[in-house]
Amino acid sequence: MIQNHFKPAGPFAAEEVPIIQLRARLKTEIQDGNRLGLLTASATSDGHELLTVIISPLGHSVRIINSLLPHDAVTYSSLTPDIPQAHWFEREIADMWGLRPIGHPRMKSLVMHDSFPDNFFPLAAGASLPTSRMRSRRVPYRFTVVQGNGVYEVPVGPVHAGVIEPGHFRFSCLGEVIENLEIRLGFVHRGVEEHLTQCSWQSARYVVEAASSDTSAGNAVAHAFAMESLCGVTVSESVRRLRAACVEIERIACHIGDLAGICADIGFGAGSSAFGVLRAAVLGIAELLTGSRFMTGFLAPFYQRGLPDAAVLTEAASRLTEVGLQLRLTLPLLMDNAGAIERMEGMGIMKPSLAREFGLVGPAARASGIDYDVRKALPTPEYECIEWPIAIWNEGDVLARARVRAHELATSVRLAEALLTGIAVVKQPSCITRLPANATGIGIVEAWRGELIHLVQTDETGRIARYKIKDPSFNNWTALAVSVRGRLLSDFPLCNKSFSLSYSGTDL
Amino acid sequence: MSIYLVRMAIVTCEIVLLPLLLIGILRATRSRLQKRKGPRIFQPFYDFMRLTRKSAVVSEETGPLFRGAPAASLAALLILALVTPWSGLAAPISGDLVLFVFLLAAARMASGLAALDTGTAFGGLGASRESALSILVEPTLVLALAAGAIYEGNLTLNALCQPANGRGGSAYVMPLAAAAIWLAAAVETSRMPVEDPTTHLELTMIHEAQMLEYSGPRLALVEYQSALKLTVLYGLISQFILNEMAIKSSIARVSGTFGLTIAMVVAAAVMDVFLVRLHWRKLPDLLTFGLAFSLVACLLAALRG
Repeated sequence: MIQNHFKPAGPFAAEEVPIIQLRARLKTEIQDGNRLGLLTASATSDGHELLTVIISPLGHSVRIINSLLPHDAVTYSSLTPDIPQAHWFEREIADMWGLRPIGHPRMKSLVMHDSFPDNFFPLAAGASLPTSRMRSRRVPYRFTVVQGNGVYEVPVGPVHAGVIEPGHFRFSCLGEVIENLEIRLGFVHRGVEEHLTQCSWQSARYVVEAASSDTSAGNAVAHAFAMESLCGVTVSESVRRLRAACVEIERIACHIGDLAGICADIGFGAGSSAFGVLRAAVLGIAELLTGSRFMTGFLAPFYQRGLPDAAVLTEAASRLTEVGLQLRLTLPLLMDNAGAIERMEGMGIMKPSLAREFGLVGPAARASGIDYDVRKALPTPEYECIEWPIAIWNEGDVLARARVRAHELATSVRLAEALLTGIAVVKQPSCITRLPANATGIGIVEAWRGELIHLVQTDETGRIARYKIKDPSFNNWTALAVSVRGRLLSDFPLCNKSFSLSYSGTDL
Repeated sequence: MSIYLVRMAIVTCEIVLLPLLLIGILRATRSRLQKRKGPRIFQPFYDFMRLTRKSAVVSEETGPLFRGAPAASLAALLILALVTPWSGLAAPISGDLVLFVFLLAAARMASGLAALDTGTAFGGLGASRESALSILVEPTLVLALAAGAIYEGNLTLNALCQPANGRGGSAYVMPLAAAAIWLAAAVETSRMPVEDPTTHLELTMIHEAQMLEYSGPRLALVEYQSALKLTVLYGLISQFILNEMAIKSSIARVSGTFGLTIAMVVAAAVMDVFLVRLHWRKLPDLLTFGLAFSLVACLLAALRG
């Protein structure tokens, strides 16, 4: 048992670090085994500040670092040369706020496309989207060019053959071999963060669920934790257990879906349909519990309306047991299949050293030997209802990522069963009518893709002034591009599926 | 003369009806194996009719090669169907094994050139992959057919539809040649474990990548051709098996061919569902088996003949 539990309801230790010392400070933090959870910008009364969230898996704690930028400054010295995990965060800050990192090794736009006007930064003060036809004077996006005899480019997307999200993949190939892959996102940039500061805080929960709709429970719980930590309140044990159970059920459904996808991508139809049937059974449990197959519109901060009654909880737990038994029969179809193992082994390798440098999260990180799981790093009592292991493999290939998922499935079924049996039906009324002024809240959840962070700040009137969502995919996209280098073009779909990344969660 | 006309009529009917029927059976079997309800067996006919009625979207970047290729490859494959005794009856036109391989190559060249003509990355990928594989498949086909020819002592394809001199038990020549053609057919008809015919992932496609730009009536033609190729190859394999069983009467051969072809289609559906697509670099290993089978068949045939 871990003695010092992580308390999701702040107050979080916040600290002022001058911007010139930030880079050195983060470097020592990361050398001490801490993680850069989030790096973003925020508006202050006198310009901008950089907000850094440091997660300490060993100390089970979270800290926020504020670094004020000088008045009117639009540049700062880039952190990426020393802290590679900051590279996408800095690109996003430049897109959204117009704050340019000086010395960033590969600065280009991340989500803002060429059709947006130049000098338009959605989150900067006074930014308004021109309603008339936009005339672009932006520097056109340039893909990295691979030169040499016989090198050619294969563009894929943004519209794909399957019904999936939009993203553009630019392969530079030499024959069948991928020399470089550049991934361009931003096609589903919808202004989620901006919208969250404009809608009422009561309806914000519906917006965050749609930030990445396959992680609706994860986002709802992270949002609830963030709002509760903002107000310094906690909810009852039962509600927290219900939330954790929802996150675990989402993990079960999505991991099964990913294994089905891996089967489909290696042309193994029998496996893909067997896992597909199981996934539907899990979504059925979600519907029984929450009234929605994707658990939307159910979980809320501060209170819980319609806590399922005892009969429903028993039924859900017994259905989960059944899923667990079915899984034990179905998993060997893929995991003990010689042909499938041959296809997955040594494919799309992400070395542990690189994975650490890029700050990977979730199953992709755990398949590359990183023992980081928010449920263990920031432990809360509900996740200690049973003893459970953290799934670690060191190979970093597609097979390792599949094995991590298979292993986590078994764990999550046990966890969800235990969580559901410990829920007492007690009304949790809402006690919050307005948010405190000038407060900061953070919610961190191990969603099925990995570490999901919500950060919320209020202004002096108690309105949400800044809302930042860091989807787990945000850390992992680079890993996909790196892992397919030197592989064959026809291997990409399998590698892609093994990372299973979210486009909308990244584009926001 | 009248026997010739009857033969011609039967073969024509089979050319028109059998390919799409076999695809229907294949898809229905595959669906059942995946516990899906799946389409009707006759659905490919409805699809064909639907596609012929639709208007086609043709990229402005394409030239006459792209537009003309489906007709050209259809012509090659129709001749192939007329010179090969795949129905169990002697083919209406006499041809030899070199013509057989040439016609397959001609159809492949037409579709490859058309894919290059589209100027898309996927078309080029598909064309280059298909030609790379064909280099590995052609020797297998030639040698397997040669084994049959050596054994029967006759280079014409029609000799394959009658067991030579009434001898059965070919000392493994016929089964080995049949196995070799079966492996080659997996490539020629883009089936598992070479290519997943149900995939939507362009990057993993071989033959399918060449067809991506087609729509409307041309797509109907292209899909029919894939089915026709499958029918002819499976029918040809049946002839080798029937020869091994020393079946001579025409009626027995036609019905035997029909039964064997359907059995092979069901086997192909089982492979589609239960096999894992091989890695591109592992494909030559698989095709080497085919080459080895046909080589041994040739040697055995030469020793026996």
